Amino acid sequence: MQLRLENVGKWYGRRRVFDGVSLELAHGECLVVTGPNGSGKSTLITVLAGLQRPTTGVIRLCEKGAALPREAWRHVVGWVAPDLTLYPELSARENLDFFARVLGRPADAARRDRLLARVGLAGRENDLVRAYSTGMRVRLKYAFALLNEPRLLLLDEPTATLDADGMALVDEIIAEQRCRGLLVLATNDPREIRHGDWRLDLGSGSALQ
Amino acid sequence: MSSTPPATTQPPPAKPLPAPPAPSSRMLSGLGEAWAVFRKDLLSELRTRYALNALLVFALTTLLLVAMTVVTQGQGLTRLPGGEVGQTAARATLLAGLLWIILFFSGMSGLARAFVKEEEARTAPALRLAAQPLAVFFGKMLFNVALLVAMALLIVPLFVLFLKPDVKDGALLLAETVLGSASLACVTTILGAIVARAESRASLFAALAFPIVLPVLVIVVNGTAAAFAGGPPSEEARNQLVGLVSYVVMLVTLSAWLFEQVWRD
Repeated sequence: MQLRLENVGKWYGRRRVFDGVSLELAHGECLVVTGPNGSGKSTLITVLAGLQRPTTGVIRLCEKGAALPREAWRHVVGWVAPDLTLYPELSARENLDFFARVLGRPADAARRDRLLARVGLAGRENDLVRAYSTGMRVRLKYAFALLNEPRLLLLDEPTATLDADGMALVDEIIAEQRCRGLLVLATNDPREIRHGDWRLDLGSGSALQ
Repeated sequence: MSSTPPATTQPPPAKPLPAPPAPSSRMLSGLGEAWAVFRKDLLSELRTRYALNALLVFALTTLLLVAMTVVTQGQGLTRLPGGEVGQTAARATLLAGLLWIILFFSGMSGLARAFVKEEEARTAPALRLAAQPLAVFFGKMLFNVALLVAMALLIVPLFVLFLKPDVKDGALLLAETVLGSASLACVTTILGAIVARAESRASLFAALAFPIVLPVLVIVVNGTAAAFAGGPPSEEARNQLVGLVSYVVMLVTLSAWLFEQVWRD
């Protein structure tokens, strides 16, 4: 799996968020996106997830040199971000079962429960998400992101609101993702920046380092 | 990319992606996904009563208010030309109009929120990421249809009980109730999707709904009046129902085609 960005830019009306981003990320690589507040880190992540179209440029997710059609991205992209909210009126199990169904995956209760145990939610699987603490909700977001065994994992502020165990869990997930595919982190936290093989600083005119 | 070397050792190669499903299997999987969206919305609604309460409170209050205040008997309404007492065409039309005013405004108070709720609760991005747009559209439409038809089937008997229309063609009334409310739910679904992402939702909804919903309402009010009045107009109403179904099928097809653009950007 490869991720290619060619001259990608995002504008809201006449306001430029970022522009001229070109890069290529290969299997096993991690890109860290940094920049001050409002520089477009989260916007770039949502554009990479396919949730927003870029105003300019092209994004390609390629498998063996062939670009995947846009409608297939949902099967290969995982996303964790402060903007992501799962259904508070459903339990963690019900949330994951629902998203597995809409992803067209076969029902697999054992795998779902393993995933919830993996993110530290064993014993609370049947609680409604509205009763979860902020940290528990973030853990559930990781279970959601890993549901489709993503080839491209997009993490926006990956450890925000997590405790020490949660941060260790994110480190493990990042290490695993390097074996499974690609990783993009949007962060300014030095502890998270160290994971990157490449760094894109949106605060300095989209310079790649 | 840049000249900086990777910080880690070379990872093992990835497993190949599974082959894309055949078109027939894609269609079946799309139906399953739409059903999953419907089930999720139903479960969510049963727990929060978000739309249900709005619909029921509005419908029952309006029904009682109409029953207590609107005069539906007397000169020109229950006195036939020969001096006999019965239901005139004017009364049949008045009652049909009142019934659909109750059903329409109750439906609008809850149905338009199917997508707005996803945007306001910020659950829309997860749904947008994981589900194919058509599954979302048809799942939500199915939920809206189920909700409005169920509400109509509850309200119409109460309406008959309180306002005592002389129902001459019960089968036609049932058909008008089910098809009319299902049609309103279908057209409301796409309008709800459009306005969910707009800033001035309420005014946009009203402006868009008027030309699209009006033909549906005209047909069902005429049809319901015919069901109350009986006689030859009832035949004409059956033909109009066919027209109504055709109009809604056309609208849903067009909406499904446009929905991806609305949903994605």
